[in-house]
Amino acid sequence: MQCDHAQEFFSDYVTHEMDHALAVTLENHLNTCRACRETVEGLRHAWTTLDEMPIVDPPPYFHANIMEKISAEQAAEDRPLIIPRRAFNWRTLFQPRTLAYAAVSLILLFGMEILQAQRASLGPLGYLWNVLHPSPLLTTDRVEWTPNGLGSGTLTVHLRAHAQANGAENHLWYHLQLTGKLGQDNVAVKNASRDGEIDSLRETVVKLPLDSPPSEARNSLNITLSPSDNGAEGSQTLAIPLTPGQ
Amino acid sequence: MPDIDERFLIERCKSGDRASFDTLVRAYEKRVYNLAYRLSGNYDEANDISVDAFLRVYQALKLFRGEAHFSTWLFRIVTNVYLDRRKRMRNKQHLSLEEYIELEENSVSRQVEDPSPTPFQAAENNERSRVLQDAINDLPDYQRAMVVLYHTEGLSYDEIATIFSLPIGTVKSRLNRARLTLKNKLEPLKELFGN
Repeated sequence: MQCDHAQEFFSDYVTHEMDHALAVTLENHLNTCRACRETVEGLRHAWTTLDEMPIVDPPPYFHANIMEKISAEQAAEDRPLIIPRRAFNWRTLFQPRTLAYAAVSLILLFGMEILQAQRASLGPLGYLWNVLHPSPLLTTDRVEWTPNGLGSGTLTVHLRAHAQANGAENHLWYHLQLTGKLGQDNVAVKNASRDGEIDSLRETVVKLPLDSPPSEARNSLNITLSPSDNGAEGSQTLAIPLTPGQ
Repeated sequence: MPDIDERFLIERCKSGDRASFDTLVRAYEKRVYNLAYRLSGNYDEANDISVDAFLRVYQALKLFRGEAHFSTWLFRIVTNVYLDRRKRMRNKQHLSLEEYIELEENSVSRQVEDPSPTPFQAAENNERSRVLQDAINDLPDYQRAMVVLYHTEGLSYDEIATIFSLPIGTVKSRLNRARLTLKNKLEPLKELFGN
């Protein structure tokens, strides 16, 4: 056994914790090596000295010191956690990510408007405008009574259709009918109706020859409008104000 | 303290019983202080290390599973507190006594607090102990910790290996080296220690 190898076992040898065979090998080496023998003796001595180190007593305030720290720690644990409310940081609105999200949203919104076909359904903004500000399909510019000197005359109605909210031309079929009161009912006046077509590009003038001038007290002038010529689907009936009979 | 009593005490501590923790501290405070002193070689340091160690025990007791002895776990904490402090101290600048403070008229040398033990601690302060402690203080941190744990606290190689998360062979090897170093330091003073 070499000295370097023997040194590894000195501690176990001193504490009698070596395998018997190995201990015998070590002892044989120690019998022949003075340096290792002296090292083992010195180690045994140091070991004893270390084991005999006196116990050091803590100072009298030691326990109180510890428990005071523990109490402080307990108090810190029991304190409720207050999360301070942070003021809204306006700067976050101008951060690149926020601006990017806003830009993308705006592009999508206006893109949908731009890409809508002229005669297609209303785009989102147009639809929204129509819901908030419904515009009439028709306006009556004026209603005129032109007498012919014999008590009869011609009722002239000037009509104008509105363009659609998306700017497309409005094309309407109309049925204009004068009615008169008969008791509690309103009945159509014979030969006092007209049918035709109006559009938003020009004013439409409708002439109704009548035997006597109409009056608001006795008559009503109604116009039924429909987007198609079958007169049924999507039709609306509007009342046209009459000027007092002339 | 018998194992069963200690386990019961620890369970009560975990549930927040302050009186039980007080009892647990009293059971181990002397050994903890002694270990801290032998590690640091300084009474004030020993006090600080011990207080910090018990504070860590209080904070971490819920995590103690009872797989190892409580004493092993406790001494591991004390050793870690000591090693952490040593790491921090090595990063600080050393204070030189030769440094002078310039005043308007005179210069005075920097005043350093006297680390000598108090009269109460003087009973322990004999030549032999002081020489031995100086020899231990000269050891590298890990060797010092292992020597003190083995010889002062009576921990086994197994327990020391658990504390440092090292193989037993490594622990034995380092302890061996530490003892040989101490032997060399103490040999010239054989007449002080006797045969």
